[in-house]
Amino acid sequence: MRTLRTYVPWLSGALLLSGVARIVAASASDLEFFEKRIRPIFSHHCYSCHSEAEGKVKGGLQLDWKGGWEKGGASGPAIVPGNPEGSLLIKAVRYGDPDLQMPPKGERLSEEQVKALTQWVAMGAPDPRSTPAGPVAGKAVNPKDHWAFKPIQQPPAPKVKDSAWVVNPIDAFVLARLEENGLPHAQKADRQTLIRRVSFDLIGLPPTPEEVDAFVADPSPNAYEKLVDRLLANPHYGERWGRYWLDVARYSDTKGQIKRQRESSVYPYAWTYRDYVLEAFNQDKPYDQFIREQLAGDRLPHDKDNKSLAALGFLTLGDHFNGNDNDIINDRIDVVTKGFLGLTVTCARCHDHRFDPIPQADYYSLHGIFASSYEPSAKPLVGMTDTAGAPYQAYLRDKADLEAKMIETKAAMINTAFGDYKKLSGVYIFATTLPEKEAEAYVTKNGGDPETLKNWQRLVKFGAKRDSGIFRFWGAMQRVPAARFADQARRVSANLGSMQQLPQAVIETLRGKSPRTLGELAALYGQLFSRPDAAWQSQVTTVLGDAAFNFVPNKQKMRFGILREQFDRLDLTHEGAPAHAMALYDAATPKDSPILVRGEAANPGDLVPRRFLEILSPGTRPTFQQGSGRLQLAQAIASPRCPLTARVMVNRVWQGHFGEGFVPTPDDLGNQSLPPTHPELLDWLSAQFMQDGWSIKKLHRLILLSNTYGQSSEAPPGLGSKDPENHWLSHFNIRRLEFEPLRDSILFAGGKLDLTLGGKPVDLSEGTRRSDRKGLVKVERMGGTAKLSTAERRTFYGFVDREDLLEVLNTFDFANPSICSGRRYETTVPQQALFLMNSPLVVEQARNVTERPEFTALSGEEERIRFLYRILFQRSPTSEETKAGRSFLAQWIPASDTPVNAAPAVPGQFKRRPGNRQALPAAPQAKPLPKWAEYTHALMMTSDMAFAR
Amino acid sequence: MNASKIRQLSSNFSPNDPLLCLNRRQFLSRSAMGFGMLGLAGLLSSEIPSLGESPTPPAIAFFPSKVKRVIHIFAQGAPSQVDTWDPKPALRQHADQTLPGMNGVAMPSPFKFSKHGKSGIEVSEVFSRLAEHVDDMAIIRSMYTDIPAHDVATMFMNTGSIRTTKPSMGAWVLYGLGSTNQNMPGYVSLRPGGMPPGGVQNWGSSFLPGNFQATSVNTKAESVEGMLQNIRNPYLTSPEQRRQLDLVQKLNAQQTGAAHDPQLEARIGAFEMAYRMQMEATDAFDLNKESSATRQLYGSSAQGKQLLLARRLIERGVRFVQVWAGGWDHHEDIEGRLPESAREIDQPAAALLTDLAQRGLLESTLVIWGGEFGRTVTKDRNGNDDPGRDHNNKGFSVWLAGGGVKGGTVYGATDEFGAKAVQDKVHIHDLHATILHLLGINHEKLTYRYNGRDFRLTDNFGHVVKGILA
Repeated sequence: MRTLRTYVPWLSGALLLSGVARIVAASASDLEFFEKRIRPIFSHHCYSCHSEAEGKVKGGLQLDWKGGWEKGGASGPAIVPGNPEGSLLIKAVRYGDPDLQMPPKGERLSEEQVKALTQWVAMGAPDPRSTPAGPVAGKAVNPKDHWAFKPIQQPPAPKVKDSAWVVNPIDAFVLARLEENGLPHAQKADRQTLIRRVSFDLIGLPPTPEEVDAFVADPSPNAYEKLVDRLLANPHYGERWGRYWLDVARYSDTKGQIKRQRESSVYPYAWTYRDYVLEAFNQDKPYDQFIREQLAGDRLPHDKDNKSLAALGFLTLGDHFNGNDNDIINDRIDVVTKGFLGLTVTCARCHDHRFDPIPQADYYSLHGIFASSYEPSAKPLVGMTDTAGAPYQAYLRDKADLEAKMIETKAAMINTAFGDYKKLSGVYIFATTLPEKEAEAYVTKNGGDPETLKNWQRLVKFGAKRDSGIFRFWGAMQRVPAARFADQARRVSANLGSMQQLPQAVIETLRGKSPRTLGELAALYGQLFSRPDAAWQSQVTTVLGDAAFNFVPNKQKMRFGILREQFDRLDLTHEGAPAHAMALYDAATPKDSPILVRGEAANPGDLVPRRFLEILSPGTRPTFQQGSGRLQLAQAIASPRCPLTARVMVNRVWQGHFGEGFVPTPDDLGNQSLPPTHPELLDWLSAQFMQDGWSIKKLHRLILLSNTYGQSSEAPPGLGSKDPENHWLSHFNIRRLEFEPLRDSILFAGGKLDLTLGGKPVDLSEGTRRSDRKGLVKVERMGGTAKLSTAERRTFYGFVDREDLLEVLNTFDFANPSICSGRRYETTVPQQALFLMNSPLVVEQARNVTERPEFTALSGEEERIRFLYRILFQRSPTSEETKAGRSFLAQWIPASDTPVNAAPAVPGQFKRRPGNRQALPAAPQAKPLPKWAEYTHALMMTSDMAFAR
Repeated sequence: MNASKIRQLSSNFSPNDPLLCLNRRQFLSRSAMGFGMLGLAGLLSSEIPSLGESPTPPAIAFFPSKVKRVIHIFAQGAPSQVDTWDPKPALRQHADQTLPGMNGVAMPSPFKFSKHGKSGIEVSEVFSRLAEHVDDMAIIRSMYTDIPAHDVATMFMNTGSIRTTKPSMGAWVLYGLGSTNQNMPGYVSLRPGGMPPGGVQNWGSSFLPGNFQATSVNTKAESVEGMLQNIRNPYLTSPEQRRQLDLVQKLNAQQTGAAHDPQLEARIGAFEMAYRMQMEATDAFDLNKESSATRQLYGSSAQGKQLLLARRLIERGVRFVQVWAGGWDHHEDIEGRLPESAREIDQPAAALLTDLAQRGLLESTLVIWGGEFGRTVTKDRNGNDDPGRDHNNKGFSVWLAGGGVKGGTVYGATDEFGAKAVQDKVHIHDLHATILHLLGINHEKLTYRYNGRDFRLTDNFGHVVKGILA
């Protein structure tokens, strides 16, 4: 009853006023009551049927604004202010009248809610909603009117008071918002901070101390501009910004969900797509061309080296979904529409999109395009292979060896399996016609076993449908009644082999025979399978193929699987293995797809033409007739007329620089997204981006040279607690380094980072531990031939296994490699700290830093500390920091000499419990850390190492 | 706020904590760290710190409760209600007929239901072991949610929010009640490999301070060192590492200065937690410390392992354990596949309830099982000859067991066919409100002020489902 007491004092006042409540402006406390207690009831329980914005106005009654209930519906005004007993609404929610119960169907309000409504009406129903419920902040009433579907105009830069701060139009748009909200902007960042920020931002690596000095000392007015241009031209730029795109492209070197009996787990050539992306960014390939190549590189003129064919990896390196074609197509539609258009079109797979104007038919228009494309089994070569060179020759030999081993193993396995069942095939085949229980009893009685029977059932079912036709005779006879059996059998067997190519053995054994019962036919099949001739025995393996493979016990199958895995991985790991493109081609006879009702493959509806999305095709909407239509789709997307393409990319780039985009959901700019923080700026930049020939580097330049970007990350005085998310950009956002720049910069400091560009993926698991994995094929178990390189390359080149992502990548918030991920969600968890505290990868780099000749050449403690700060943080230490370091070093005790019960170094800070040492179990002993290495390791753990300011 | 509870919670705070050697006031004023240990309830015991953008500490948010912790078994993928906890014989009478207002034809459950326990609640044969515990369970058969898409609904179940990222339920609970073991994270999420739809946001802390997010552990690895990588330091002894970390934190504090950057503070907290975890977490995650009888009780499957870990964690004072136990998206072959999914969790979950009861922990632990929505009662034709069921947000079942729960209860009902909740409907917000209530938290009062507004787990909604309270 506490709530009641809180509003009683002003309730009495309201009652007195009830008669004139309508003309008295609602007091603040009235409004508070409405907002807290009443609006939630209306919006949660009533709007779905009584609001035009939500699509329904049942009984003509609108409850989403004051005028709505005043006018009322078919039964008259819903509320009589001041008179709950006379108000229909109150009557309805009380559920007293069986004919007037709202909300309907038992969704009755709670007692408290009814009481609140009654009180509110008694108060005179103060209601601030003077117009019908409009759009929820930025949400269009008609989803088609959503801002992102409107054409892009380039608005003029707004006028601002502090025009001196504006170096380019970005600043004008940002400052206008700051001024509007009465917020200050920050100081300029100092040069040391700026060079570290912009280096991590553009190349994902810190500058060297020499680069910092040069920049800080550069007196020229365009020093910063020169820095930005130098970094944009640095080939490591493509590794940094290419990685963002690989997140979008759900890049992985493995297939994900696969049937292991049928295929290996790897995409041996996914990296050719990764290198394509690297080069595209480095060359500043116009974004529209980048789109066209990734969607339809096969249809564009391309060089002999086929590099643009590798672009098609964007479509083809998704999850394999156990070979389910519709799921694979769905994934391609998803990555294309989220990646380029910021639309969640796959929501329309089963029904019209609930929030965006994307009818289900649109989904199947795109479906037809991808259903009319196929992946060639022989993938085109990328780049030039030195066919005379020794590595290539060695590769060919290894590959041929493995292939021979596979063929041999498979044949041996199937032979063994059939040898076992030779005698019993008649029994098994006959048993496949019996009901389950009887069948099991039958095979058991005749010396077989029910497990094997299952394989036979699959084999017969599979074989009867397949072209091999061995079981065609069997299939034709299964449902023939006894009376007509002999006649029918004679007819079928006489024609056997005339329509399809059958192995000689099958024709010899079965043609012209006239069994009288299924049992007799089964006996004939028994004879067929027990034929001893070598020709037939080898055919059994090839003709029955995968079906026969089911006979093989799992252990042996695994052995074959490992061979196949090695066979495919050789292409991934062998230095002489040539590169191929994961290409996609148009089918010879492209077809439109039917709408699948409720998304069900078994429930096809009307065919829909292949064409672009309706909402993005104002005016004409041509059907796509050239091949699959992928090129036309690409052209429609990579067009200035498509209102989403530029906006989506500009939003991504902005997010890359500031940590947060204008729209916080970069893969969804549809009706479900929050409105952009700076809609005019987003449009201005989008228009500019297109005018600049879709140049991503020019876009970077524009952003990086703005005063907005150059601000200090220290919040300006006077900001206070306003705008805690920094929507209005009153200062720069401190950026936590993602795993890639963090790991790379640690290796870089140690002087061990191999900065080679491009090439086959490397193993990142060193220094971390792979989650041990049961039963599945492991690289380690597959012998020496299939090892990935363990070179200390940039993290960008790490092997990405979407099925078993390295836990260290999960720990550091790596993007999910199975879905288009335009942003990474940051977590802060103890495992991240454990990696930095304990991983030999990190600790050994600390040791490496102190073994660098530039370090060992220094003798003074302060000099050395200064060197470490400069190399790790690109700044000099403060005097306090130096003092802290010196005190740490002075009190250091060699690890090997530390007595077990040594007092803590800084007494009183850490109350050690007895037995602490035991509680921290001994890890394998490592080379002891000298004091400077231990100190450097401490520096690597500080926040300075993990953030760019 | 009950005074003894205040004392009890605040006793979890150790004044000897090495955190930056701040005095108590300074310590508390660092919101991110202070709360992790204490929780809001603990903070209220004495001085109220000034926190800038901070919670408005509502003493009335808490009331006494026996329930101290939660194990949330998340059956991701959306289990079919009519094949598990919600028997609908009417489907058999209408088999293969169209049902009013529904697509497709009715598919009766291929599984037998029978009565169990004193309460005589009917449970499907796929949960033969859990069925023995119905007298400890409250089964809500009238759940419903907003959108039948896995990623959105999964996030909704865990955070109460569809459109924007909000703190997860476990984060709210930890924020409210704090942790009781400073050597262990207060909120742990166990996953058997991979990432669920929605990823880390399912256990995130969003605008709550970063140390309320769950520590997510991949339990697929066989060894403790595999699950908690880098848990041992091969170079330094514990006191030496402490000394090293003291330097790290001292330097961090100098850099951070007066600015309260939540990211930086969360990171500082994570290092301290990591350091302390080395003392106790290896033990907590070491299943070899269990008797073989106990290990057998749970079984050696992935979920057996996860639930046994969950028990070891809550025993050590972890406040909230989220257990991912998915695989329920049965669009096809429900007859063959659903029992497989059920088998994965049936014995382990039954073992958990038995084990907790034997150890006297069931009274103080809330165990929840359920998915993100339910399934259609008609056939999903993607299965062809082996039909499954499609997504359905209008009706599904969850169960709760343990502290504060009225065992042997069936609450609410779906319609004749099981397609839609019709009686005593329970929305996700209502379930959240009820879970908080069971823990002694008023869901309307546990708020956090952010961006000028007080937020709560249940947004503006939620009613406690009183019918399942003991």
